[in-house]
Amino acid sequence: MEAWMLWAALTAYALAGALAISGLWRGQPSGRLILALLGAALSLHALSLGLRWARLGHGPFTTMFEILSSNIFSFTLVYAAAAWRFAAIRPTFALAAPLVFLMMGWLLVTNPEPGVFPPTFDTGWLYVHIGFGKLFMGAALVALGVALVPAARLTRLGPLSFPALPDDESLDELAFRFLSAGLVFDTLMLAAGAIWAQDAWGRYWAFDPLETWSLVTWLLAALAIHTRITLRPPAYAGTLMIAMVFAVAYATFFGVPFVTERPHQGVV
Amino acid sequence: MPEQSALIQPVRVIPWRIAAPLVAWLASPWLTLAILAAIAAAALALFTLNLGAAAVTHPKLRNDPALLSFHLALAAFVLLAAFGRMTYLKGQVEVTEGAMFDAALAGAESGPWHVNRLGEARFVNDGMAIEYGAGRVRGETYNQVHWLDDENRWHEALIGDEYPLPLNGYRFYTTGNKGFALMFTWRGAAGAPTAGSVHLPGYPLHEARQETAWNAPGGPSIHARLDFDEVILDPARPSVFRAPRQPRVLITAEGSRATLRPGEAVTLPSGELRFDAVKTWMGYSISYDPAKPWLLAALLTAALALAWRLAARWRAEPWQNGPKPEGMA
Repeated sequence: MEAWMLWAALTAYALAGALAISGLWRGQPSGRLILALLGAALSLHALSLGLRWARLGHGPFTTMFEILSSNIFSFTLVYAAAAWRFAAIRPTFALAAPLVFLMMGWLLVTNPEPGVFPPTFDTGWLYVHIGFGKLFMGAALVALGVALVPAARLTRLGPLSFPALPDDESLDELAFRFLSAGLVFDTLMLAAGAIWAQDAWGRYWAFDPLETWSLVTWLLAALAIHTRITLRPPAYAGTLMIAMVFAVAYATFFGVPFVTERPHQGVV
Repeated sequence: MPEQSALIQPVRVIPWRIAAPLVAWLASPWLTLAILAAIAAAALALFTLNLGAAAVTHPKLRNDPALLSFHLALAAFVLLAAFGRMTYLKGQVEVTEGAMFDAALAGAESGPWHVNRLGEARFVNDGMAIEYGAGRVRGETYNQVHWLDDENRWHEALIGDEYPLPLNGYRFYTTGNKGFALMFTWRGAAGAPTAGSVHLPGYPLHEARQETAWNAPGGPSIHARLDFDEVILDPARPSVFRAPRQPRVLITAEGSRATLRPGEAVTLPSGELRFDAVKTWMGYSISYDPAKPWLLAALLTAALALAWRLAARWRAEPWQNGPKPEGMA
């Protein structure tokens, strides 16, 4: 049942993404239908995650399979919430969907066997830390999706002109507001992580690879926001800066924990 | 035309014995670390100055309490982090079951401004229970301790890997480093009996190397190896870490060998060694950082101030130029 629900959710995500991408060519974004499909996918995925949680007795925090699965869920949830609140940005899911597709493909080749739940994970701060981290990554993904539109328009390709969306300057403003919201969540994630680390390992900060790259991500986000405020660069430069922040954040979340031996002491 | 040899001045080469230490010093990774630390410290100091000057001179920053609070909180965070690095202590200590913490650390590092008050911390390790799952996966650690407050009153506490014992600003956490302690009584040829413990290497990490050597007080070098037949941590099923119930200790000293059970003694040329019991020892990590709660407060203030600023901006300024298209929320 758990696996069937996951498959159904992935299929609904794929349909929503495909509809968003094909809408670029059809000139009809089908925003409501995309949102409805995302809602169905999220419901099925939540059930699948819940069943796994009940079966294993812990949340999706330990293996690559669980981390990918929960992040596909959180990325899409934040995007769907933003698209529900800001109807104009619904077509931008076409630009974010390829990343979700990539993660879905990665999920399908990952071992779904359960991992070890370390004793240091048995704390409420885990949920606070990871929750804010997921909100940060979700906000950064929305910022990226919106910010990619001005860059896509530069290609002068018909399907990538997004005629229904506001002008570049407005999108740049909205993208940076999402990045700023992401910075707030990122700061709270670091604070909650520090409290957890203090309780778990007797130190709140040790410059381990994950902590260092999280700090680099925070600094890059702050740098991007300051650069925009100070230099007022054109919208496509904003796209570059947000893409850089997202790339580093993504590599921090999905790269560092799996290329170093011990990202956080005791975690792996 | 003068001879060529007269034109060439002899070159004074620094003797290698003088240059070598200088080159070695220049090649030291500690120098790399010092340079990086100096660059980081200078950058942070400049950043703080920049922030302070901007708060005074920029009307946009000065007139926006949320933005000003965010930046001041960040500046406070940087200063507190620097203060924390100057005053911190990180250390490790091993305490035998039933023994009092004696501030003799197995290892420590601290900032230059750290005032060591560890000697005032008093607590006794009353024993532990460490759960292991199948496959020897370490679970929760429960360490019973009792500790003395400033008014000389004893209190009990149950601590663990995530639940520290706070004493005089120091926080004591249990760790995965623990093992067996051999309890001996040594009676020298002319001295009073001295009881003490000898810690064996950590268990189960060094399961195959449960032996050690030490010098008895005023006496010979003694080598001891712990043997037992029972299974303490069964890989096939959940178990709890404990001291072996039927231990034997193989003693080698001054050309003699003897296997002792609890309560038995061996007589050596320079004295008598009695094996009393096997207990456990716990390795604690110790941390001290007075800036920590303030760092957290500064970070939360920064995050909340930024959220306040962002919420105010969402309310006050539309993100979109011109009229909203149809269907906009």
